[in-house]
Parts: sequence; C-alpha cells; structure tokens
Amino acid sequence: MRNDSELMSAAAGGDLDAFGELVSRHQRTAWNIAWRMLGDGAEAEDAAQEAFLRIFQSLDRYRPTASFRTYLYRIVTNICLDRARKMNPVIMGELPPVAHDSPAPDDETIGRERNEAIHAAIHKLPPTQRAAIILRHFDELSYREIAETLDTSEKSVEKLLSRARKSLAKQLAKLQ
Amino acid sequence: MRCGEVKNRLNAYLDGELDERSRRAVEAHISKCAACRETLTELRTIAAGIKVSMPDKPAPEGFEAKVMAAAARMRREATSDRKAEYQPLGARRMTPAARFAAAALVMIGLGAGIMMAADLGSAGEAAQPEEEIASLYGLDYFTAAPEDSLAGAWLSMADNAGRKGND
Repeated sequence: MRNDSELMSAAAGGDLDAFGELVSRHQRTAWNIAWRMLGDGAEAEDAAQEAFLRIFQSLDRYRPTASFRTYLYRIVTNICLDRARKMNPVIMGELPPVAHDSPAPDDETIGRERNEAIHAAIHKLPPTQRAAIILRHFDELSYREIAETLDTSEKSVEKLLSRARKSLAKQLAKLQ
Repeated sequence: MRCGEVKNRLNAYLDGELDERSRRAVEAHISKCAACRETLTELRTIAAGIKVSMPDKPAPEGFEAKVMAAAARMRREATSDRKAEYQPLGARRMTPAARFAAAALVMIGLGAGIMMAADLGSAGEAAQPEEEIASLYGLDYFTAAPEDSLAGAWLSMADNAGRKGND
C-alpha cells in the first residue's frame, strides 16, 4: 500500500486514481473538521470538497517537507476559518433553561442536552479559538501541530485553548 | 511554584505539553493546593464534555465521487486551455470583415509613409502636409526625433533621398 507522499507524487504525475485514493483515505478527517468548525452540513461539505480541489490544483507544487496530514489540516482549517469569519454565527439555540416543574429528565436526555449545549457554546467561540479546541480535543493534535496548522506559535495555541476553555466553562455553568 | 504561575500552565499540563521538570513542579503544587486542584478538575470536566459533544461522523454519501468528478473536469479544462494557448496564427480564422479592416490599415500605413517621405524631400511644401498628417494620426503629440536617434537617422535618410530626387 502506497503512503500519502507516494500517492501525491503519483497524482502529480497524472495518476487520478492515486488522488482518489488520497480522498478516500482522508475524506472523513476533512469532513469532520469542517462540520465541527462550521456547524452547517452543506457548508461543511462544500468546504471539505474545496480543500481537496485546492490540493489537486497545487499537486505540482507539493513538496513533502511536512506530512500530508499536516498539509491537509492546514488547508481545511484555513478554508473553514475564512468561511466561519464570513458566516453569521450558527444559532444552535439558547442554552436550555432550568425547568422546575417538569418531571426529572432521564440520564439520556441530560446527556443529549449537555452535548447540544457544549456544541452551541463551541460555535459561539471566535473562529480561531474554535479551531484550536477542535484540533486539540477531536483530532488530538499537539501544540506544535496546531501551531503549524494555524500558522502561529505554541505559546499562542496555549493561550487560545485557555481562553476558549474559560468561555466554555462560563457558558456551561449556566446549565447548572 | 505559586498559584498564579500554576494556573497559567494548567492547560499545557492537562494537554501533556509540559517538560518533565515543569510537570513535576505543577504536580507538587497541586498536591498541596485545593484551589488549583479544583481548577484542574474543571478543565478535565470541560475536556471530557467537549470530546463527547460532537462524535465523529462519516463523510456524506457521494463525497468522494463529487470531488473526483470536479477534479476530472478541472484536468479536462486545463488540457483544452493549453491547446488553445499554443494555437498558431495561421490556424485562426478571420472573418471577411476582419480581413478587409486589416488590409485597409496596412494600406493607410503604407500611404502615410510614402506621403511623409515625399513631403520631406520638398522643402517649401514640407510644413503644411506634414502638420496635417501629424495631426491626423496624433503624431503632433510626439516631439521631433532627436538627430542621434533611429527615427532621426531615418528622417535624415528620407530627406537626403528627396533632395536627390529633386536635383
């Protein structure tokens, strides 16, 4: 099985199947970054497709100085940041109020409501903080990898995560 | 380490980003400081909540096919653009009107050149027709050619040819 760099070289040489193999291998990663960043399914699909097509258009300029994975993360994240800055914030709904008279919700309901609330709170974060949270918590990138993706320093990544987590804690405290 | 310092490094500690020495210093402080321990617990709760809030999803159906269709289309368009770019002149088709206009422009240019050369040789009548031609073609916007320039040399040759013709 060819590795990502070999597939990129083959694709640059005109092998469309090699590029298809790359898309197949990494579409889930690209798609998940996009929908977590953008919230809207159609917008996310569009962004993820755009990322692969940008990679396709620049095949002859690709140099394997960084891993393909890092390259993909960088392109997808930057496309999503551009779109997120232009989009109106996705209104995921207000945080659910505390209901005093309703019957006690079961654990499943509590869990679902909490997830929705966290999802909404993440989407209220400024785009760069949102990107740092997504890359750290879902993609488990190191500070160095996040810094490369966002074209910033590791210290800045630490600050982005610190601010984002404080905002999320404040939003979620309203649930309790 | 003091509380302020430790709180500033708790995110990096949670994420496993501290070097060995810093990690031990934070752990030593947390073991004695309830406030910092509570802050760390809050961070861990947030992290756990984030992780489960948006579980991984497969890409939408047909995603790969759409990307590949677009890529194939881009490749076809790029290939046909390269063919058009290098099309030799002879292969281009001119409409009859375009051919007539091109021929007319060539004739006007030739005629103007002949008239200018003839007028340069006839000193007494040089000024008026030359001014008319210059004005007609917007050449009055140009200053006279310097003597040591290519244009100056050409005019000088034309002038000499005209004088010889009149002798």
